[in-house]
Amino acid sequence: MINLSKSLRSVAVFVVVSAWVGGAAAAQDTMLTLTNSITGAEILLTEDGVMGLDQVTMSTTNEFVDEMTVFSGPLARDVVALLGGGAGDAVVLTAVNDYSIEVPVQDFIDYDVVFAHSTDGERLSMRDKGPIWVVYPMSDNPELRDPTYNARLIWQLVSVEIK
Amino acid sequence: MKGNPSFTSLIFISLLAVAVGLAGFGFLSFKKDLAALNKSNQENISWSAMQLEHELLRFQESLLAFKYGEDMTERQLNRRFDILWSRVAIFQRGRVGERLRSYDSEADVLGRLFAEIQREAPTVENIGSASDQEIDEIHDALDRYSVEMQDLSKAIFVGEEKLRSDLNAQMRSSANTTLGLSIASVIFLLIGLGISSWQGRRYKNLAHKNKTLADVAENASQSKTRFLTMMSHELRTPMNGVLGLLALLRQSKATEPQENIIEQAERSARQMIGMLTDILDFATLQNNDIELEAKPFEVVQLVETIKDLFAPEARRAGIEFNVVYAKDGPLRISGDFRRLKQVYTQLASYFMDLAGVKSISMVFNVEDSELKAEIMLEYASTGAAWSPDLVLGGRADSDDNFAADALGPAVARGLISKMEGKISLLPPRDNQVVIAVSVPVLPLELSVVNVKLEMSSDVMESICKTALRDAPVSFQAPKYANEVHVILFETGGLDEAGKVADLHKIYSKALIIAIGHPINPDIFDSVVQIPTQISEKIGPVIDALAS
Repeated sequence: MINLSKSLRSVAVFVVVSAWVGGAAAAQDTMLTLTNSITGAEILLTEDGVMGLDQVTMSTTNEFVDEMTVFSGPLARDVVALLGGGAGDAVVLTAVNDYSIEVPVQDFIDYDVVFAHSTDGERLSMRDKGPIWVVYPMSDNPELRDPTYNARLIWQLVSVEIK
Repeated sequence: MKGNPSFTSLIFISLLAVAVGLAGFGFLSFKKDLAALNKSNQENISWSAMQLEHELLRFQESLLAFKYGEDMTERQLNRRFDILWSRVAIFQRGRVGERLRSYDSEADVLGRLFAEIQREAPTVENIGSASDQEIDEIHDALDRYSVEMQDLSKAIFVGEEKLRSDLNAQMRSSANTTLGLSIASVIFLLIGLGISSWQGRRYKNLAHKNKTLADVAENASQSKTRFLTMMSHELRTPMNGVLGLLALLRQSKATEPQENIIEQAERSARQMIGMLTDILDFATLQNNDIELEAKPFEVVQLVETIKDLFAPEARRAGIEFNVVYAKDGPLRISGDFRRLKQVYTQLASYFMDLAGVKSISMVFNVEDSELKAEIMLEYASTGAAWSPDLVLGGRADSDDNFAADALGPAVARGLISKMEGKISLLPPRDNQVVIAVSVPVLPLELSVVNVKLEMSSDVMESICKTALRDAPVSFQAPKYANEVHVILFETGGLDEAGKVADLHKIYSKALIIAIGHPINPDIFDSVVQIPTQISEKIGPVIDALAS
């Protein structure tokens, strides 16, 4: 069960309104599509919408970077919380090339998983795992250095669906 | 194998260490292989290579779809291009990229493909204005890499499968090795336990045998002691009878030569009784049955006793005999008077009777909680000499040549040892042999007994004071009533009971001794009929205060 904080509700409302109603906002591309298959809710997050969420930075390394790297972006649990309640306990993360993987929501509660849009202060481009790379804090949590979690480091993330 | 505990422990610890080492080695080896296998699984680079191959084909398809106006916008095509770019970029970074490149180090397909993609990027980014020929050129340029990419994917797949297979084989080998090492550890431990158990049984048997031997020896010793004790008693009884008969004979009118013979017979009998007593003491010492009893006594009492015992005999034998107390230390000590007296009489007896000395001096002193005596011997130009071995204990007491003259000194040495004292030879002084004997004692502070006189006449008061002139008593009235230790009460007055009751009330801690014939002796703590007996009654009070 995901709790939706008051501030996050505000952001969600802002995003939905900006995506569906606002003419100027509608011109901006959708960066991340959030869907709750249980409630039927859908949120289209633009870049401003993503950047409007609480931002965190996390230093970690993994099998796809050369050294300790600083990742920036909202916490995965904050993003998922935008979809509100529901009985979902898993999310399906889908990349731009249609590759998808199912991840337990518990991961986002147990660990500070970041939906990173920047590495070492540089925005991630589509050619380099952008617009969003799902990053687990592997340096601080050795138990995450495992094939299961390695497969969850999905990049070019474009869609999050609660099941 | 002559086993001993340390050797057995060493073997057991060594085996245990080997077993633990083997098990630890096996575990670490297995853990290392498991980590390698995990790492291998974590970095599923075959999938990455196939993804690149797949995205290359998808972009080519998208390119053709765009060319033929099918459902493919310029934006969608560029997105496909970006995805392809990102797949190639993966090979450039991180440990995954490093391992992927290791399969491509010779052909450098990836390097060339990336260069090609970068070359085509400007055209793709403006694909809307590109001609069909340009699109075909891009398609053909990338198509050249399709087969090479297939080969690279295959090589990576085969290589990774081989790596995993090798790791699995290594894991199996490590598991087998660990199993073998664990079995070896168990065997080593079992061997160690076996050795330990065997040694334990062996030591138990040895201990049992030793105990049996000790019991046998103890029984033999006790039998010997019992025999000695019994025989000494048995011999002493008739010898006392002989002495009695000799005493009776002495009372008859015997001639002078007969008197001399009787005296010699008496002396011999007494010597024999003394010897029997020594045998008894020696047996008791050997059996460790002697118990010491510490009581307060005056050192001068010991000195006087020894002097009284030997002075007459010394006079008769023409030996100069002096026993003195240096009086540097406390007058009273706590110790076993009877055993101390026995030590010095045994030594004095030996030197006087058997060592042939010209003079004997015994100087006593109390110093550093020890009763010390220096025995100085001077020899005549002729005569027997003392045997240091007998007195100082140079020979074993169980020597086969144990002679009668050794008995007394052996008893003295045994008693000194029992009292935790020592006997030693000091350097000669003025041509005299000097032997030092020291025995631990407890020096006592001399307490003054406060005596209150309840007399009806001055004469009786004077008699009492005279009777106690040598005792550590004070007749001065102390500051407090409870400091009065003894009240001497002259009987015969009126209302004895009332007076005594009053005295008990005032001097609750005092001992009230009646002098004379009290009407009711029960109301007094003690009664002496004549004043000269007072010192005997006060003695225990002094001892109690001193201790």
